[in-house]
Amino acid sequence: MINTITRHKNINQLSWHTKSTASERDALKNGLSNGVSKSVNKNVNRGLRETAEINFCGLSPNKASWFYKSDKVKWMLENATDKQLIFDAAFALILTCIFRPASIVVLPSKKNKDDQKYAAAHSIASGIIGFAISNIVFTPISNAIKKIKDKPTDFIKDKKLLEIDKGKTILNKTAKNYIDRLPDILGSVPKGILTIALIPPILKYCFGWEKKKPQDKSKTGIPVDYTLLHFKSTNNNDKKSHFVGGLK
Amino acid sequence: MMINQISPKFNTSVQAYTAQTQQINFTATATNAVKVNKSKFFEPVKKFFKPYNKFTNKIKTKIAFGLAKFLGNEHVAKTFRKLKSIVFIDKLRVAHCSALTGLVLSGFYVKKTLENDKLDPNKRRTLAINQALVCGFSTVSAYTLNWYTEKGIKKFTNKYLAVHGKESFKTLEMYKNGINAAKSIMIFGLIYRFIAPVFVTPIANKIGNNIQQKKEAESKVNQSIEKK
Repeated sequence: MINTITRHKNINQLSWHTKSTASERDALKNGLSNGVSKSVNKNVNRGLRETAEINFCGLSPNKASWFYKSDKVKWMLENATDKQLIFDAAFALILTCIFRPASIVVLPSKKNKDDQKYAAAHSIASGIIGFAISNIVFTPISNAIKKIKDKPTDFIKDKKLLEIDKGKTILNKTAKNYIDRLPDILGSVPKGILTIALIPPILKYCFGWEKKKPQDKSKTGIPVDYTLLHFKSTNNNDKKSHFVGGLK
Repeated sequence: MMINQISPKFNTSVQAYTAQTQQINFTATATNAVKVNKSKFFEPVKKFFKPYNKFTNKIKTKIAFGLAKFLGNEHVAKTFRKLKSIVFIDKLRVAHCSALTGLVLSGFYVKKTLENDKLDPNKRRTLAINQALVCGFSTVSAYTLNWYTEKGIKKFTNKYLAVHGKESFKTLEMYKNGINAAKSIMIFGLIYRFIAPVFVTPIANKIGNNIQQKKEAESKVNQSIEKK
């Protein structure tokens, strides 16, 4: 029965009958021409290539579905679950290396262009250093937590920290989460100090940037007209003005 | 209307289609399962860290035992149990961790500013208050944004899980946790690392400078009155 077929999920996804033209539909009703069967086959084949189409917040399915099916998104979500610190550092890297420098340069400011460029380079350097430190320090901890998460009974003897979910013993999610983030909370201050300390040498030796020190006003002082010291006027005709001191 | 009445050829083609779709759906899920975690975007970074990763793989068991010891501590276990029992804290634990990191770091910077001898005592105080206010504003706005986006993210999570409905329960759970964690990390990161330094700090500095200038002008006037 055609009714039973149209109710089938896959047939709804096909939507061949909506795509076919009026003439094709008329011909289909008559069931006479060979062209109909060809067009139906064509539509069926087209439908086979397309996967299930779901309406995503009013967006056309083809525009949004790539995101939902993307392997990169899956990989990103896996890292956000298991390696939160690395994920955080990677996101910070994107912000500090792309968005912040771009906005520093683009947005109007009272600073010089050189100062703006230096601020942008400073942001990039801090992002790179932060990401490197996070990776070096937190990767072993994240790996160890993943190992505990995979086989919690091998490491943890306190049963109160373990839960049974769907027949499997797992580590308490709260404990897992705080343990994952604890190094960042405790290590944020030393990380900040190290980042601040490493920024100038990295800017100097990697980017070739060096911040110009503000001129010390006490050293340069007020510009002095030395003609006054020599009692020398700018008027050459004045004989008295040639007196430079001493005996004649 | 019976399908046989339309065309026998059509009937056979539909049957063939249903058989093929079932086969294709099966192969698609199989390929999806294999394809996970094969992103080439971070390949150069991965290559750079490969020797280090080898080293960490060797020591991870030792670190795991150390962490297990820490978790086994009575006080620590008690704290975690208490934290889990409070629903508000447990539900937003990733957000709390991000906020706590930001607060610790900002507190350190405020302390450093107050201890800076190169600055005037008045300016030092104004700067420190400025930093503390920016930090407080960022934290509040991050929590607010986190709360506002919750509904949208729930919808997105449902749709994402519907698309990947054929995968195992464990993977779906991982996707759900991942979306929630990524949301909180991204919102807090965006506000602490981008919006606060680029947009909020300059405004706060301007306000701070204005207050400082007004104070200086008032003190000058007071001094001149005292002299007279």
